[in-house]
Amino acid sequence: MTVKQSRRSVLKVVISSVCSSLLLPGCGTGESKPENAARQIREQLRHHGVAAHLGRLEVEANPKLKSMTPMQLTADVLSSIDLDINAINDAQIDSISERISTRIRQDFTDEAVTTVDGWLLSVTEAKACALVFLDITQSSG
Amino acid sequence: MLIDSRELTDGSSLQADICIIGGGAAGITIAREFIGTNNKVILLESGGLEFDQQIQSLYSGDNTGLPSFDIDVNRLRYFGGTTNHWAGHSRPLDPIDFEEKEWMPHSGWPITRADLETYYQRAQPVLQLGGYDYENLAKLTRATGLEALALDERRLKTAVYGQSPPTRFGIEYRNELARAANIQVYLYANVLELLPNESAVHVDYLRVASFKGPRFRVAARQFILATGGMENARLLLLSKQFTPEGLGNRNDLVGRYFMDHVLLRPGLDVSFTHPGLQLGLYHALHDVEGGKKFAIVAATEHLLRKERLANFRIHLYPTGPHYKTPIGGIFSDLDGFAGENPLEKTRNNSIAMHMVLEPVPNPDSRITLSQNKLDIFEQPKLEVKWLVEDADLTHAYRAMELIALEFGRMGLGRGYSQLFIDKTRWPKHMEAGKHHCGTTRMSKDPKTGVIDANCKVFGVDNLHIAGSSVFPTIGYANPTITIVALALRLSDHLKYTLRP
Ligand SMILES: Cc1cc2nc3c(=O)[nH]c(=O)nc-3n(C[C@H](O)[C@H](O)[C@H](O)COP(=O)(O)OP(=O)(O)OC[C@H]3O[C@@H](n4cnc5c(N)ncnc54)[C@H](O)[C@@H]3O)c2cc1C
Repeated sequence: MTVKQSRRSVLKVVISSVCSSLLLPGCGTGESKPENAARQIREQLRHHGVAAHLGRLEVEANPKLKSMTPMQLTADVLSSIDLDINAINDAQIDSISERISTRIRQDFTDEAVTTVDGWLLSVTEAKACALVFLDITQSSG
Repeated sequence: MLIDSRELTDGSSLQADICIIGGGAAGITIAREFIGTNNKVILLESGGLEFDQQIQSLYSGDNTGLPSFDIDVNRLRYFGGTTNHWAGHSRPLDPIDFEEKEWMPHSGWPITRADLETYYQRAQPVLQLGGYDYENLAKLTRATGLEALALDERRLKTAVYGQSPPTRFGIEYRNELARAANIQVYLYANVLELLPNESAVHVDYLRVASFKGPRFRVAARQFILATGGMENARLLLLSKQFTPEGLGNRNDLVGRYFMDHVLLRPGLDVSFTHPGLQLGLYHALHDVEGGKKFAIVAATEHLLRKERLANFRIHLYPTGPHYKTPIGGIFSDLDGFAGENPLEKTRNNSIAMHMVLEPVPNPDSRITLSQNKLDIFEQPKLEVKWLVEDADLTHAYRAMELIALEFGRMGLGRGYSQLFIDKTRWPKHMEAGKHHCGTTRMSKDPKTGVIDANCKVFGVDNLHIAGSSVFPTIGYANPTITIVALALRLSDHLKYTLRP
């Protein structure tokens, strides 16, 4: 199923490419492709506070996630959408949103799901929430 | 003719071709079928035309099983019976509900859905339901211009449900019965006991009493017990002359297999990823062909067979949200919602799923006579022990999971359920559907049932039973349309039996 790009995410992609071409500070400059990919994943989610709350619960319930760094978790999510973190290119980064959408639908079809705080979530979206949580905790020192 | 039994002479003896005990949906339906025939019919109704607390107290008793079960308020004891406050939701049982399912112990009716089809059609006007068209979803969507959910049709379906006004039998059909020359409705006539001959194979007469009034007896060629899903069993258990175990109870089945639908309201909340998702087909009432209809989500036969589940249905009501945070909104972008603002937690952005689950028949879930509590006629009160099985909890969990999976797959929202927090116990708000079934179950074999396929009590040649006590399994559908269909079928059978 093709998923319409939201106006919000289209805007984000446009701003991000304008920023990088102008080499504006604090605007994605110096961001590696894996970091860019991780940010793309996190930015698929709204309500970051709630996403981080779900992410924390998911990490706490899942020992494998607990031992991961944000980059390892990013690699894991990317591999579930057939992308290799070490060889990812710009076009692939732009396709992350659509790929994750498709993956999530497929998760629900395949029953690749998990329950978090009473919610039934796809494993991919639960990992995306976990990434928001790990990013906040591990980057805050 | 309507007669006040309190004005009868003490010790009177009445005589009829057919005696119906109980003036609710079942009893009134059968009485109406005999209007204008050559048969003299007596209908004995415990109450009067209005609610009376003293008569209602005859329904009091104890519940020693699951909580949330109020025996006396779940039934009404006056003319019209419990239809004086029923809600009117109606749909025939599915064909699979009649089958013996190897994954569901004690399942299987001795009749099929096809055997009831014409009676379901005849029940439709009795319940003022308009056109008989439960399988035509397209008609409902065309008439309303509303869309059904694009469900995975191997698992779940949108099904059409009927909404009776709801018909109050005691009001709607009172005059018709009052005018009928061959029908006598005795009000304030409490049947206390059925008295059989010495070998207990034939009912000779009934012992009847009015509270603080006369006692009298009624003899008939045929008797029909139609006092509701619990009281049918109680009256058999109270009829101990020559059968200390109760009439028709040689195999200790009367009162066992007591069932009710398991309700979770809500079983699940869906937090939308798209704002204001339109689900009016499901939660609003629509006028179609002279009746009111709405849609539900239900299990498909394929799903039930594949996953060996009990049947279930889901009502969609905009009554939430019952969760703390609007999780659905987190995933809006991923579900293709191109809005500027994140979704907030409002009623418009969620829907509550009310689950109605078929229980697995359980012989230990039962009604018995109280050992120490007596009613105003000095007869033992009822004791109910409503039990559900571990399997029921498993079925409920899976039902909720399937709905949540489906909303995720369709990209419309995410599901929240108490069961997803703890799958090992029922949420506190689990309740019974107020549909009392199973206590005089129908079977092809007296070893596994109280009545045969014609609703005749095994071993008693002139006693029949009407009402949901005869259902061996109950599907997900509300029972009254099936009660009325079976009552119509029984009427046809008796007309044949009593032909000159
Ligand atoms: C709140 C509520 C909502 C409901 N909503 C729905 C719904 O939406 N859809 C649906 O299909 N069903 C619904 N039901 C169930 C429905 O009301 C019953 O299925 C239906 O009324 C049963 O019909 P009946 O004739 O077997 O019993 P009843 O209607 O209960 O009638 C039994 C009659 O027998 C009389 N009686 C009892 N004992 C004696 C005695 N010893 N002597 C003489 N008379 C006696 C009683 O006074 C009563 O009039 C609901 C029930 C409740 C409580």
